[in-house]
Amino acid sequence: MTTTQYSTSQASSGASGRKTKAPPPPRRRRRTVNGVEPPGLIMRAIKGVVLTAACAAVVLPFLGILSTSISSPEHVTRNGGFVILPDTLNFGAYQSILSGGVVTQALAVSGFVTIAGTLLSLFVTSLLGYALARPGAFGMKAMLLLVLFSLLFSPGMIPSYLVVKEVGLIDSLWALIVPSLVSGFNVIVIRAFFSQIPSELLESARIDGAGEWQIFSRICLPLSKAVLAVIGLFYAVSYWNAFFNALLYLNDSAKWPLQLVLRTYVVNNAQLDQGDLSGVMESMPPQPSIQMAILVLSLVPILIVYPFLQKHFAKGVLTGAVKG
Amino acid sequence: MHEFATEKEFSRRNFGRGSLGVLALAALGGPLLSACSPGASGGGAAAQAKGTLPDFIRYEGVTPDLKGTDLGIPDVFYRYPAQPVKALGQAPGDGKAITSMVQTSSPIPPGVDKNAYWQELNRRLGSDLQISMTPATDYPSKFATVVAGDSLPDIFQVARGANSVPQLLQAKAANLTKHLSGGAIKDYPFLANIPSESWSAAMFGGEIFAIPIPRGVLQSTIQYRREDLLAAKGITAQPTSFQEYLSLCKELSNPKGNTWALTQVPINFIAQTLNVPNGWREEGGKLTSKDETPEMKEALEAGRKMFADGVVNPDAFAANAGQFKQWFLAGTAYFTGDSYSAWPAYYQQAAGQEGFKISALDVPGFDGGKGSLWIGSPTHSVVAFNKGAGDRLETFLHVANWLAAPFGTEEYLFRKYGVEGVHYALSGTDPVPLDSGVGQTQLGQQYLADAPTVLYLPGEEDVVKAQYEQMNRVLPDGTASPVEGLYSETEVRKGGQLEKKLRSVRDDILQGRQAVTAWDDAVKDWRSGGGDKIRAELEEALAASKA
Repeated sequence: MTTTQYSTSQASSGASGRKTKAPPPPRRRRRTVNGVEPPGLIMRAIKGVVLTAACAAVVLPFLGILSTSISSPEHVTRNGGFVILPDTLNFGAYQSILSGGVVTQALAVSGFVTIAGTLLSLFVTSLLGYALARPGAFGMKAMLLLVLFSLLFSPGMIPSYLVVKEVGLIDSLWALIVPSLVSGFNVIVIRAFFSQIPSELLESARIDGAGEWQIFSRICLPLSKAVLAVIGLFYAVSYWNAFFNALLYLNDSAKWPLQLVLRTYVVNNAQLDQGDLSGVMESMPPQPSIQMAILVLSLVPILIVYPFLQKHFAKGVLTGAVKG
Repeated sequence: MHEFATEKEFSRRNFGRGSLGVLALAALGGPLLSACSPGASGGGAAAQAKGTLPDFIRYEGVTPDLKGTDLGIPDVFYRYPAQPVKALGQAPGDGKAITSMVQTSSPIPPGVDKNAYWQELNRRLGSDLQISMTPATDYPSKFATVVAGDSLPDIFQVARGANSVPQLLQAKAANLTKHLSGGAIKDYPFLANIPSESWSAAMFGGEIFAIPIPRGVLQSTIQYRREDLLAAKGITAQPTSFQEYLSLCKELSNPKGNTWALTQVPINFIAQTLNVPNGWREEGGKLTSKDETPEMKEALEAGRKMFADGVVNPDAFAANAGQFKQWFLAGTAYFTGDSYSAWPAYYQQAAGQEGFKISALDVPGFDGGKGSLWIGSPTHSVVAFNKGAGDRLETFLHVANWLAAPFGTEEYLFRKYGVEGVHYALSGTDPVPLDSGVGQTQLGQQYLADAPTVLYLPGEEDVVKAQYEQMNRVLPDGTASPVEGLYSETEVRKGGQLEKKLRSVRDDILQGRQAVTAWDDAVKDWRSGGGDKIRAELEEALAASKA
């Protein structure tokens, strides 16, 4: 009762004093994505600028490399050795590189080493990973420790050279593959992947009469395409980029891979200070357009491969990272 | 100074241990290179007093247009002789393959099966010359590994900055003394044509274990200037003091136009204007490092001022030697430091630039008068022959002799330029490399044996004349290193690392990050870290060489 009276008096005093306030408009609900409000216009603009700058930081050097490689040598020299936009389309640098036969041969060597090396490495690594993923396998712990040891300590240049020499691989392309056939890191990643395959699946295969080889090849490998793609990419990139083992093990420069040939064009004279110019830098480095052209040649194959493997990449890497 | 190790003492482990140091240095970004200072180029000073250098018998078969001098200034040729002399009658090889290992600074050539030059070289040598090439920056690593693996080829270039060179050569290299010492060298007339000052780097324990790759004075670093660009601004006179140079640099620098006077702080040039010693100063058998002198601090202060005044490309400390060359060629810098050997190379690279012209600064005194150019080592490196060569040693020496045939001979023409019509065309009597053949001739053969350098740039008589005249103006007042050819094991093992630390402080000072007084502490660290030991070893070697 008291309440009603109070209400009435409020209403009457309001009517006599000032106009009744209009009810507030219904609050506009902001759209959300997964429960998170999208950023405002300013934030989006800032993000756009930052992302554009980040992309430019990646793309511009590539653009510069490409442009320098197809510019006329005079234009490049006038601009201090590096241009962002070419003056003409001049493929003289590529002609110069590819005409001698050295680079094409080096490309073939790198291609062989990368393909053969990656396939063999995948085969060996997955076998080892599978064995290490089976609890109770003979010598598993010792083997695992050895793999981990190889992650922490590398054998060093001279001991590696002595081993390669003793097994007769000096001046053989296999010297570029065999010593780096297994990477401890990749073994750990693939072992983690194999470990998460339900043991019931393997048990049922075993009950159906499958041997270890069949389980490995018909069940484990088909389930591991993502991690195999990622590890394959790791191996391929490392085989493609390797140059130091070729430097040590290959006396015949006709067998050099592309990266080592590239080194003689680009890096050879690049690490010198004024005091060191004498003696070491006895010849002018090649024209920048030639240096950049050979960089393009070395980059393109890996750039072509990446997009095809990208979809596997996150999944494969995350598996190793989380389950390792 | 150093007792020689026996072959047993020079074990793989010993060398490997030292090599790890070398490799660690290499990993640190090339401080090894600083161990390539003249003092580290090899040479057992203690033994030089006892040993007999090979006689110097100048080759007189070709007459230069301007004659070189005893100061190491090379002969000048305006054009290649019309009828090159065939200096050797028969092929030096024995029909069997010869293996070898060298560094290279050039892009790698095609393999022998696709390389007409290499095939012809083998035919002329009478042996298949198998050359294992390694990029110059990686050569010390390769060399250390090959030595440790006991896989040295028949002929090998000793890596600049390699450890334990005297011990290594005595253990692994053939002793050449009886073949080359004194008058015995006359059987190899082109090795005899290598000046005596280069041979000191090839002698260890009084005996000859290697042959030198001579470079005369071409390894001296000078301050180049863009004569064409300066002339366009009406500037022709040389600066006569540091202050004049700095004023000129200020006048030329235009950061808004992306142009600076200098590619980098010319600290060595400034030091030379202050008569800072070339590496070491010797007084009564006692050595003082250039870094210990008060003049060096003055040079640092002057360099710091130059950088602060904005006359140096601001990217100088992040750039490398190749970029300096590009800036200089592009005309975004008017002055740059480089070795004498770059003089003709700049013209070759600038082909197509109308009116391109360079010259070099003389070395004025800091406050007027005369400074003193640091004369570079006369030896690039040394080349040794496998100890297991046996009776093939003479064949190897004859091959080296063939490879050292001097300018003007038919052998030299082929060695440097290849075959007419395939690798070069004649313009008058001068060989002009053809695009199709130019990549084939860079086998690194100039690091197996080489003739004394000459000044020669086809069709550019004025250029070589200008270089010759500049040399004659500057070199008489130049300073050679008092420890040239002397060997200090500590310098080889630690010198690069110590030098790197000093350079780091030097660069901080030049960029204004540290005061010049920081130099004193840096030098103190250098002394305690091994500098004093290097000094002691070099003083000992110096005393022995004078005994």
